[in-house]
Parts: sequence; structure tokens; C-alpha cells
Amino acid sequence: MENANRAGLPVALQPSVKTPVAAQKYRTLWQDAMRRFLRNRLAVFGLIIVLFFLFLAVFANLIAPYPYDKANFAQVRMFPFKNWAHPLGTDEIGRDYLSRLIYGARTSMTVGIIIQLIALSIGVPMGGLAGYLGGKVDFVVTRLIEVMTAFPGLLFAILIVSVWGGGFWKVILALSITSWIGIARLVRGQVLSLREKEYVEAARSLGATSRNILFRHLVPNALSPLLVAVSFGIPGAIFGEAGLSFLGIGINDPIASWGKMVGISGAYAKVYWHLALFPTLAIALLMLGFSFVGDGLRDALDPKFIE
Amino acid sequence: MTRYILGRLLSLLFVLLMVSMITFSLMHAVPGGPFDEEKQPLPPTAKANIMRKYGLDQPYWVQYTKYMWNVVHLDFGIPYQQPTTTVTALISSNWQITAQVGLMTILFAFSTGITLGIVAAYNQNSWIDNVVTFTAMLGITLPNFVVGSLLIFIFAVRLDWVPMGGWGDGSCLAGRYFCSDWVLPVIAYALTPMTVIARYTRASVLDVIRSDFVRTARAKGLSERIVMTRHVLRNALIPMVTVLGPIIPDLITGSIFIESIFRIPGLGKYFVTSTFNRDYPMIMAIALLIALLWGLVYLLTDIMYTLVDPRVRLGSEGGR
Amino acid sequence: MNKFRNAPVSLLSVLIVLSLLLAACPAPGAAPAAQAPAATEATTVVTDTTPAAAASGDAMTTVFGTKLPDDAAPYDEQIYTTACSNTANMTTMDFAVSVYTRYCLSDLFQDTLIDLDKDFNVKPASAEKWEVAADGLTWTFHIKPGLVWSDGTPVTAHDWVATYQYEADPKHAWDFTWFYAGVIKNWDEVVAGEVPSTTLGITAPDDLSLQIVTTKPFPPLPGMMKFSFLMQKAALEKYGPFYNNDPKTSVSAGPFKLVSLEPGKKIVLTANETYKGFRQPRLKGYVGIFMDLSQAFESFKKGEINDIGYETLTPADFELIQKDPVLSKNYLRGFGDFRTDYLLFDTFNPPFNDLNVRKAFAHAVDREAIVKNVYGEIKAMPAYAMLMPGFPSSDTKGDLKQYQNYDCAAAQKYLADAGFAEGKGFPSLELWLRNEQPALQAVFQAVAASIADCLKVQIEVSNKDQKVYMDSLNAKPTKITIGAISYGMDYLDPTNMLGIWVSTGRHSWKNEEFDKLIAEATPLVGDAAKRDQMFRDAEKILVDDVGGVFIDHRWQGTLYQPYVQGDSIRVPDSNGISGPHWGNDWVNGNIYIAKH
Repeated sequence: MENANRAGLPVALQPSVKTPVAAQKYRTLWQDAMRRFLRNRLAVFGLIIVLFFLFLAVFANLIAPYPYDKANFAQVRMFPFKNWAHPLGTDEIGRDYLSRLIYGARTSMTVGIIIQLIALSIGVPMGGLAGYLGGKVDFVVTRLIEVMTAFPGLLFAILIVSVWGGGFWKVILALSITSWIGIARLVRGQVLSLREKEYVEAARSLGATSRNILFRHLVPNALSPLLVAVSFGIPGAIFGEAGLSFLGIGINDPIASWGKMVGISGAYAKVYWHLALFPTLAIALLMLGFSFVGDGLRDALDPKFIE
Repeated sequence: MTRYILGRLLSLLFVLLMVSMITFSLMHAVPGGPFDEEKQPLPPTAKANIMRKYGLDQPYWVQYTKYMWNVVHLDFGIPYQQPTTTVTALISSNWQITAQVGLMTILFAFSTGITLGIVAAYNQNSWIDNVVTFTAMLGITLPNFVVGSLLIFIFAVRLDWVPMGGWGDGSCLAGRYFCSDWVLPVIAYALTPMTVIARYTRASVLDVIRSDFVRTARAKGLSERIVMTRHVLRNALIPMVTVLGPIIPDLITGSIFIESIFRIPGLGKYFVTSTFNRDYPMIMAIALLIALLWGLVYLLTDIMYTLVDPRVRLGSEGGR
Repeated sequence: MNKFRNAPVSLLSVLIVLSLLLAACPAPGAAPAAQAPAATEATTVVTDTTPAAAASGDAMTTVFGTKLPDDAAPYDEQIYTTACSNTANMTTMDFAVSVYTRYCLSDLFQDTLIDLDKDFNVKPASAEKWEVAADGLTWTFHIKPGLVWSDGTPVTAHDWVATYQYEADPKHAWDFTWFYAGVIKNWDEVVAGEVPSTTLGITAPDDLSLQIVTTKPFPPLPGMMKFSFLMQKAALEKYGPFYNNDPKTSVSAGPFKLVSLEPGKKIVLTANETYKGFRQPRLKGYVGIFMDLSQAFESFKKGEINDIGYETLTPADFELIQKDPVLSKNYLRGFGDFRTDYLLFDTFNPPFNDLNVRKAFAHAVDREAIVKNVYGEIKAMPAYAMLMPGFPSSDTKGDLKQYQNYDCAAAQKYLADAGFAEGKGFPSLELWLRNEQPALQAVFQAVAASIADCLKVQIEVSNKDQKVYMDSLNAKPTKITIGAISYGMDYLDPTNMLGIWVSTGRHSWKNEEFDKLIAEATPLVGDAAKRDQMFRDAEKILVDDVGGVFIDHRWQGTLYQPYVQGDSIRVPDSNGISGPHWGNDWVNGNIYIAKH
């Protein structure tokens, strides 16, 4: 990051600066990053996976051959690839497995994205203010972060979901409570290291307000590590939902959730291998996709590689 | 330095106090108490008896103060789920086993993870790198209970090389399995941290390899071995202290999945049983133990960081 | 950020130091073994502690001097192993200390007053006979003379008095006190701490007579004595209630005694050579191995354990058992505790305060298809009422079927009558489950799907933490609108299974006629036929007024190794059911390991 600042690039990141030179540099940075990203085969592969699942999630109701909750007790636990009416077989109570996997993508994507949005909207202001203002605010936020970090996560999740019960929004709430900590810590660290930089000093001496400096200068500069963090945070949240659902305290049936599908079908797996295999594959594949995208983003946005 | 450490310890005390308060209020907010009837409602008088017996009839703040007063005197109470012992005795006897598994796991995960990461970085974009990267992804995406069940199925059930589980319960004496009861759990447990470590090592080594001073060292004509040991590894592994420190408390407090699948009588199961049974003294003790471990590990990593990198001053908390 | 030119110490050397430190520690596998020298092979331990029989030279003679059956393995191999859950909450070996947190292999350190035969008839055990006085209130149990504790002292009625006083002690706060509530004289008052425990209606006029006074005539009392698990008065006073957790203080009047108890590892019992009771064991010992029950079936197939219960078997395990000729012959089905799975409602509030809605739900569950395809017929039969056919006063002829059978057209009509034609305007519901295993989660998901499909209503299924569920259920007013739950009996009388439906019980359903019938039938003495008919009438009200929607009765069973033999588990009862029967304590004296 230090190199980046010395090169003066972060100034160019400010959308508000209107000089043509800066605007040109701004495009160049992102174009460079984009080019580097697209040249990275693994990253592109990851992006394709993510986009594929996103597509499934958005158009689930159009793509899926059956509704996610249509049960047929006469056709339970059908094996895959046997009957083209149910290409991936059926589940314990006779619901089309392909359809449930497709709707599962919708659940996972929604959970992952909403939780990251919540994490950003709490973590960025918290970390930003703590890092920029320092003093008492920083002290309070740091202690809060310490307490939340030290708290045993499993205990926390089980306790919280026990109080509120399962269900879509409650799971999101329970996972959001701890999701912002990493973001806040990251933003605080970034702002701390950036706020002493020359261009911030310059802005300050020119009479810019704290809010202005924080949101115009500091936060945009923390953007690239933040983007990487989010690309790892979304699959983290998806995994969190899958974990809670696996333990039986997450998403309610009949809504499809990959984690729940793995959790219930573990008991059937020795014979009906497909019930555990497909949702496990789906989770693994989506995680893989996000990880590749995250790695690719980190490489692409790292200014050290700018030749 | 001393002042800094004292300050941090003070802040750790504050964290412990907060954790105890949050845990206490949360566990009392959760519906259901430790002595709920399983089948039929107890007569109210009988219920009152139980609450009185365990001091649960008193106001929350009295219960909390009493508890904290006892904790200061190192008395953590009697676990409801094993009333013939004390919380301290129960945790120490079980944690001993968990810590053994954890330490072996740490050793295994760190040594193989770092080696794999270095090898991958030095062969960037070769098939070795791809294999390591891909396995690393698998390690992160496969939960350890899946890995554990698979290992048991293959090596204990099908091949019968190792026991199904258990811990020091005579299989060593029987001589059949060569004291191998720890092999599968350690491998299953180490897989995820190992792959995390491998990924970070790879990235970190790559960063350093590309840096100016390594180029300079090479330009000076130093042998590749010296460049690697003196410049690359030393500089690549230091930033990992902050990344790897936090893995440690996780590992030495145990995994419910690993311990229950491999029949290890460790601390892990109490995370879940204590919550499900509303065993208040055990919940509090475990929460405090974990918070303490986290606090200490963060403090140690920070101290270690200054030792290895003098540019970081402990006074300012920046840059972390 | 990544440049540390002058780093004085490398992390690698830190790691090397760490690894050296670890290497200096003893070999990892050996360390715990060395700390626990007592934990050698179970068989060795048992041999060490039983000096008698093996020395006599006859490999087929027990410590009691009895002969093993001809097909039995030698006495030294008569060790029965079983799985104990390593995640369950366990604290005690004694029923009198805690019913719901007992270790596995508990209740082998004493005989209860009575036992049951395979057709659930009450027969003598520790009591050789009993009678009730003319008022129907005072029962006298005559203890079999000559019973002794393993420390040589005689078993007396005073031990039972002490046990019951301890059970009722308000300071003890027993988790099973509800069982005798309203039955035994002064029980409730003692539990409440209003009168001392010495005033309890259980006394010992002499060493071998135990007198129990009930508050009102209570015909099922002898059957209730299935739970008269005994503790020794002297040990209770000297060592406190947990004396049976430690071999040094443990004392047994039952067929086995404690050798070692290591929670998380194993429990070892050996035959109690001083035992004089009705079930002299052929087994030389029991070993309970703590394990994650998800691994128990693998352990069974490997021959580590001799049995495995139906709760532990997954649906996949059942498929494998049914396909395997040997396993399927050794899965022995039984009534278990006559457990029924059902849906319960909050009938005091909308929408289930409307009988039409409840009837709609009752007729919308396709039980037969669900039991056949989702649950499996090896595990359950469709239910239309509370009492499983075979239980006293149960509907064996199918008279009650019409009230809750699957009939989607009728169900839709009832819902329309309630004002929700085609499900329009019906609130979306959350069906609560009580921490169910995957197989039962699937069953109730199917139930919800069946209802949702037929009635066009929205039902989500939510699996709740056990304590949260029970707390919400028992709350008055209840916090559960619709939930799924099961109930199994505690003693073989309809008042037990139907009694939980009275309006003071756990359900939010009230029917005055039903309450009245149960209240009158329970204490009825002298006219067994009339009592039976009253319970039958009550159950009819229950299904017709839809207190609950009954889904299935569970077949419970145990999978045994083929070499586990004994009439108690292999010979069928009058209904043709051979597996282990609830309350048949003589099983422990009867089974043995055959040559294999």
C-alpha cells in the first residue's frame, strides 16, 4: 500500500477531482486492474462460476423444472440420472432435487450478499471513524472489537439463534452481528496508516472537514482491500448459513438451503449418496468460485504490480 | 514495553468482564433453564425447590455478582451436567487431552502448510502450484467432519489400519495399532488450518520474491539457497505471525466434530452440551477460557511482531 | 508493508524451537495411556476382579455356579458390549438421582419391586407378593427374604423408604417428582417442603414389609412400581447420592456391580457374585464404550458392540439392514414405550380454536404414504389415535380411523367451512419440531408438505432447541401455535398416555367431558371393563375434537449380533413380537453370547 501512496495513485481514486489528468488516471487504474484480472485464468474461471450461480439465483423460478416445495410421496429418494423427469433424483420426501439445488443458490446468494451489505454498512463507518477520529471513539470501538473477537463464535450463534429461533431473516440477523468486525478492523487499520499521508495533510490544511476527508479521501483508498475482503466475506456468510442450517437451527423447510440439505441427507448418504453429494458440490464450487475471484481481485488491485 | 504490556493486560481484564456480562445475560435470556422437565411440567413447588437449590431464584444481578466474586477466588462452581466434580477439574482433565490433539495438529498443520506454500510459490503456475492451490481450496471448502467420516470409513472400516477412535484406552498396550489412535483425528483436524497456512505462505513468499531487495540479492550473485533462506523466507514468514496467531486458540480449544467422531474425551463436546443443557457454570467458564486465550494470543502476536520487526512500536497500535 | 530487511529472528526458528519442545514431550499416543494405568483391556479387568469361576476349571460355569447353555461361548467370553453416547448429558448410575441424565448400563445395581413379562403382566421381582387393603388406599409389598447388598448387608424395606424420602426431598429436586404427584400420600407436600419427608406415605412396618398409602384408590400402582429403583440407605447417608459413580463406594443389590466408570471412555460392570435376585445373569460382565453414535453402526459391523438401538440407526442403515439377510433377521422389533408422533395445536387462539380448521388439518395428512415411503414400515405404523394398538384400551379394530383418516376433499371442505376456502386468508404457519433427528425431520417436512399441498396454506418447518421447545410448550398461555412432538408411556395404563391430554397437562386443548372421564376412570377399582370403556370413550373425544393430529406409532427395535441369544429377546410374545419389551428386566439375566 505504501508504494501506491507514494505514486500518488490514491488521489486519482477520488471521483470528485475534476482535472482531466486525474480522471484519465482514474480510468487507467481500474482498466489496468480489469485487464490484469481478465488475464488471470483462475480468476475468470471463478467469476464464471459466481456469475453462473448468480444467474441461477435470479432466475430460479424460470429455470427450475418444479417448484421447490412440491412433494411426491410416491417418488422419494430417487437416484439421479435414472429418470429424466428428475435428472438429479428426488429428496427424502419426493421433491425434485435439481429444482431444490437451483433454489438453494437463491438462498445462499441472498444470504451472502445481504450479510455483506450489513457488514459494510456497520463496519465501514465504525472502522473509519475509529481510525480517523482516534481518541475516545477509537478506544470504545477497539474494545468493542476485542470483546466481539474474544467471544466464542459457536456459543454465540447457538445462543442467538436459540433466542430468536431459525428462519431466513433471523439467520441473517444472527450472522450479521459478528460479520462487521473484520471489516471494521480492516478499515480502521487502513485509515490509521493513510491519515498521516501527505495528501490527507494537504486536504486538511486546505480546510476540508473531517467528514469530507474521511469519506472523500480515506475510505476510497481503503476500497481495494475492502473489495477483496467482501469477496471472501460473501462465501464466509454462505458457509455460516450452511453451518447453522446443518446444525438444524438455520433456514426453515421447505425453503431450500444447501447447508440444510447436507445436514439432513448425511443420515441417508451411505445409500442415497446423491442427497449429500450434490449440495456439498454446490457449496464447494461456489466457495471455490468466490475464492478465485478474491485472489484475482487482490492480485489485480495490488498497485505493486503496476509496471 | 512493560507499561504497554500492563496496559494490554488491563484491557484484557476489561474484555473478560464484558464477555462474562454478555454471556451471562445471553444465557439467561435464552428460553429454557437447566432443570426443565423433559416430559411433563413440574409442580411449581418442585420447580421452586430446584431453583433455590442452585441459587437461581435470586435476582440476576445477585447471581452475577456472586458468580464473579467466586471467580475472583478461582471458584468456577459445580457443572450441572457432572455434579460430582468441579468446573475447574472437569475442564482441566478434558482440556489436557484436547490440548494434546491441538498441539499435534498445530505442529502438523504448520510444518506441512508452510512447506507446501513455499514449494508452490517457488513453482508458481506450474502443475505443483496448481495442485497445491486446488488442494488448499478443497481443504477450505470441505468441513472437517466430512473429512473425518471419510478417513474413518477408508482407513478404519475398509482397510482396518487404525482404530475407529478412542484415546489411549489400551490399543497401545494391545500393540495392534502402534499407538495410532491420534493419526486420523490430527490429519482431519489439521487439513483446514494447513491449507489456510499454505495459501498465506504462498502469497507472502510471492510478494517477497518480487521485491527489490531479493532482486538485488540475486543481482549480487548470491546463491539461490542463500537468497531463499536469508532473504525470502525470513521476510515472508514474519507477516504471517498476525495471520497464524489467531488459528492457535481455535485449535487448542478443540473441535466438537473431531472429538465426537473420533471418540476423544476432550473439551469440545462441552461447547455444545453445555449450551443445550443450559449448564450455566460451564458456559461461563468456557466463554471466559476462550476469551482469555484469544486475548493472550493477540498480545503475544503483537509482542512477537515487535521482536521480529523493530519498526513496529508497541505504543501506537497502528498498522495492525 | 511486506518488507522487513532487518528482521532479527525468523519465524522458522521459532517454529523449530516449538517443535523441539514438543518432541521432548512423551510420545503422544503413549501419554494418556500412561496417565490411566487402570484402563487396560476390558476383559482383563473383569478377569482380575472375579476370582471365583474361572479358577474352578469349568469354562461353562458362572460365578453363581450355574451352567451356561450348550451353544454358549465360554464364560470368560460372556462380555456384552454396547455403545454409550459421548455427547449425551449423563451424571449418575441411579434412577433415584436423576431419570433423564443416567449413564448407559444404569439400573443394574438393584431389582425393582415388580417386573413385567413379555405380555406386560406384572410379576414379582424383589417383592414376592403384595396386597391392597379394603379401602383401596394402603398397599403392602412383601420383600423377598435373603436379598443382600454386595457389601454383605441385607436388603430391607428401610432401603426403599430411604430411597423414596430422598426422591421426594425438596433439596434434591428430583427431575421425576411429577410421576408420583397426586398418587402417593403427602408426596406433593414433601416435595413442596411443607412437611418433613418422614411423613411420606411410604413406610416400613418391619424389615421385609413396605407400605405405600395413596391419596385416592389407584389400581395401576403395582405397575408403577416398575420405577422403584433402590438405593442403599447406609451408602446414601455415608457417601451421598453419587456413591455409585465410584467403584470404591458403589454397592449393588442387582445382578452386576461397578468395576470402573470413566466418562467419555468406558463403563465396566461385572457379575455381582453375591446377587440373590430373580435374574441371575449368564453374562460375566458389561462394557459400555463411549462413542459418537453416528459411528455406532460401523462399530457394530466391526463387532465392537453387541447391539444398537433403533434411534441410532439412520435411514440408510435401515436400508442396508433390510437388504442383508443376517442383519434383517437380527433386527428385533418391539413396542418400545408405545411412542406416538403427533401434531399439537394452540386451540385457545385462532386459527386452531376453530374445530373445522383442526379437522381440516387432521384429514389433510397422508399418513399411509408418509409412513410407507418417508419413514419406513420397519419403523412405524400410521396412527389415527393416541394409543398404539397393543396398549391397554387401545383401538385395535380401527374404529377411530374415520375421525382422522386422509381425505383431502373432506379436509378442503372443512377449511372452506372455517372461512378459508382454497387456503385464502389463512395465516402462514411455523410448525415447530423438538430437536428432531434427520429421519423425523423428513417425516414432519412431509406432513407439512401434505397439509400445504392439500389445503393450499403456507407452512414452514422449524427445528427448535429442545429446551426452547419445552419452555414454549409449557408456558401458559402456550407460545406454540402448531408443533410436532412424541410421547411414550411411563407405565402401562391408559391414564398415563391419555392423562397428558387433560386440560391441566402440557397441551393447550380443553374438553370438559374428556377431563371428567379421565378423572373418574383413573381411580376406578373393581370394574375393569367399565374403566376400559371410559378410556375408550375419552380417546374417541380426543380424536373427534382433534386435540392433536396423530401421525404414527413407532416400532422400536434393537439390532443384535447374531450370537446374542436368549428367550427374552428371541421368543415372540402373544402378539408375535419377539424383540426386547419395555420393563422386562429379566432380559439382563437371560441373554448370553453364543459360540461364534
